Parts: sequence; C-alpha cells; structure tokens
Amino acid sequence: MAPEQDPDARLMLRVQRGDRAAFEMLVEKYQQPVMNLVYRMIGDLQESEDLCQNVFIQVHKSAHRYRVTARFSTWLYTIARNLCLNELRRRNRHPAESLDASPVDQENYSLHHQLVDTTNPSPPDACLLTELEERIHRALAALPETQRTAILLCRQQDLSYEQIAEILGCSVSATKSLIHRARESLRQWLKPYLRTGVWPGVTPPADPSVADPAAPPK
Amino acid sequence: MNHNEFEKWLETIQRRPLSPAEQSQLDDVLARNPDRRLLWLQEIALTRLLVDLPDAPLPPDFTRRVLTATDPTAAPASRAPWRFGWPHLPRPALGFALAGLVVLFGGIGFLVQQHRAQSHLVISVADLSRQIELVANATDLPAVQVLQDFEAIYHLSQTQPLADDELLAALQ
Repeated sequence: MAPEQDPDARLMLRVQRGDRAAFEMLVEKYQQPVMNLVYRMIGDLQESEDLCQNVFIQVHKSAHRYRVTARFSTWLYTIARNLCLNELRRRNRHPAESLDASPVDQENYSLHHQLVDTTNPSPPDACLLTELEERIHRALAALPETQRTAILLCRQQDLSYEQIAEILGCSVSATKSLIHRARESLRQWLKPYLRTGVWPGVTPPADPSVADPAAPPK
Repeated sequence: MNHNEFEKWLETIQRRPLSPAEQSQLDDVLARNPDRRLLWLQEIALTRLLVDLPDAPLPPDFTRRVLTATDPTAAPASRAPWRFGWPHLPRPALGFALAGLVVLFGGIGFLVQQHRAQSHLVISVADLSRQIELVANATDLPAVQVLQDFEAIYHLSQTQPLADDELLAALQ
C-alpha cells in the first residue's frame, strides 16, 4: 500500500492539525502491537508500560515532523525501536540503576538472564506465562537486538520486508538474513518442543491443537 | 527443490498461511524432497509458537494516560513542576530569557570597565597637574650664556693659586 493510501497516515495528518480524536484512534489501534514489541525487546513489564506510553507521547510531540513518505506504522515502530535502544544503552551504562531489569550483553544488547524468574516469580508474572511461553520469552531475550527486533517485527504480519528493513535501517536482504538467523537460533533453543510438541518435564497443555507441531496451520 | 525455492516457501509461511493450492503444491515438493520435511515442520511449529504468543499486558486506562500526558490544555500543576526555583518555560521563552541575562551581564561588565577606565584617566590628569605645578615653582635658572665658560671657571677655582714671586719683585 502506498503511503498516500495509508489510512493511518491520513489520521496522522489530522493529528498534525490538532485533531485529538484522530490521535486517540491511533493510540487505540497500535497500543497493543507496540507494547508487544517493547515488552519483548526490553523485558521488564513496568518499564515497558512507561516506554510504550513514551512512544505515543513522542509521536504526538513529533507530529509536525511526520511526512507521508512512509507508512505511519513504519514511522511508529521506528520510534518504538529507537526508544528501546536508548533504554538498552542506558542499562548498559548504568547497570546498578536497573536492578530489576535483566543485564544486557554489551555488544549485542541481548538479555542474558531469564526475563521472568520462575524460581520466585511475582504473582502477575506467574499467572501470565506458561512454562513454554517463558521458554520462548527467554529464547527471544537471548538473541542479539537486531535479530530480536527483526523477528518481532516479522511477527507483525501487516509489516512488509521493506518496512521492516526501513525500521532496522538495513537492506531487505540483510533483514531476511537477520530473520533467518534468528529463526535458526530459536529452533535450536526450542528443539525439544518443536520435535515432540511438548516441553520435556512439562504436562502437555489441554488444547490438542497446540500439542501437535506437525499439524499444518489452518 | 533448490535452496532458494525452499527459502521462498519459508518466507511465505512466516507471513501468512498457505492457500489450499499452495499447500498442495508444497506437499508435492516435500514428497520429492523428504530431507526438507523435518525442517519444514519445525518452521511451521515455530511460526505457530511466535504467532500464538500472548499479548503483553496493558493497563486498561492506557489510552487515557497517553491523552492526559499529551493534552496541551492541561493545568499548570499537571505539567512539570518548578525545577530548582525556575518556572517551567517553553523552550523559546527560556532561550530569550537566557539571552537577555547574557546581554544584561555583558552590559554591566562593559559599564564597569568604562568606569574603571575613566577613573584611571582622572588619576593620570591629577598626577600631571601636580607635576606641572612642581616644575612651575622651581627656581629660575641662569641664562645659558652665563654658563658658557662654566667648566674653565670651575676648574680654576679648584686649584691653589701659586704665588708669583718674580712678578711681585718686578713690581717693586
């Protein structure tokens, strides 16, 4: 879809003219996808909420700079990614200030430690994540930042490879390479589950469709 | 099936489900390349895992919070508080205020410098007046002609006059 035909771009142009209702519509539409991206990028729920809020505040502040040369979602996710990178760099510089956040690999901004402490989880986190989801979360956290971002954006199925490349600031072929490497790493991490459909030592979930990884997608 | 063809199938399944026609075509391909079947199944499983990840939790009043934070008509108390005794000014006003302070201090410094320079001039004039007065009150010096043979006369007075006995005897 050309940027000019993007309905969200038209909403953003209304935001430029001070239309609060248009801004509210954009927030409603994108708050969940942005929160999903931010949370899996930086790993801390409370900080993710704050950062997600800052993404939209930044969108509002920078409305005068928005140009319809790209789709609105490309611009939005670029802002989200940049704010996540700032947070990861801040943790890198001041690790003692982020005792609750996971330590960061200095070179690749991968999150070394598990994002949810299953030995002593806080009540909301314990309710939120099953064992499998926690493993996926940890596997994603172990990826270098660019691979993690690439695969999380690829999960947003309304983003094309060209858009993902623009957000990452690299070529389409480099983007596909990042996604390919990320998926290889994830397959290695999750091989026990991918092979059998269950995680070793974990009771299979009740939903039979989840238990069969060999079943083709519907 | 070559590597590129398989990669294309993988890219497709990562972005969307296959159509029935595509699935049928792929089944034929995998039947001819059974070594790719396991990888294909793992890729499908991984795609499902990623797609089925639950949404990160959001507070129910998230939109309201964002709208409040971006509301230009918010009451001053809801904006950033006074910091270090200074009001929260918009950036252009703050810039002008700082520029004004710089000009003010620069002007004060210039005036102080001017005052010091004038004071120094006044002191110099007073010194000059005193010196002129000193010279004006000095004793009048003799004319230059008087001093013409000064050295000879001075030398003469320094020597002992010899008695001229022969001249005295002649005069007697």
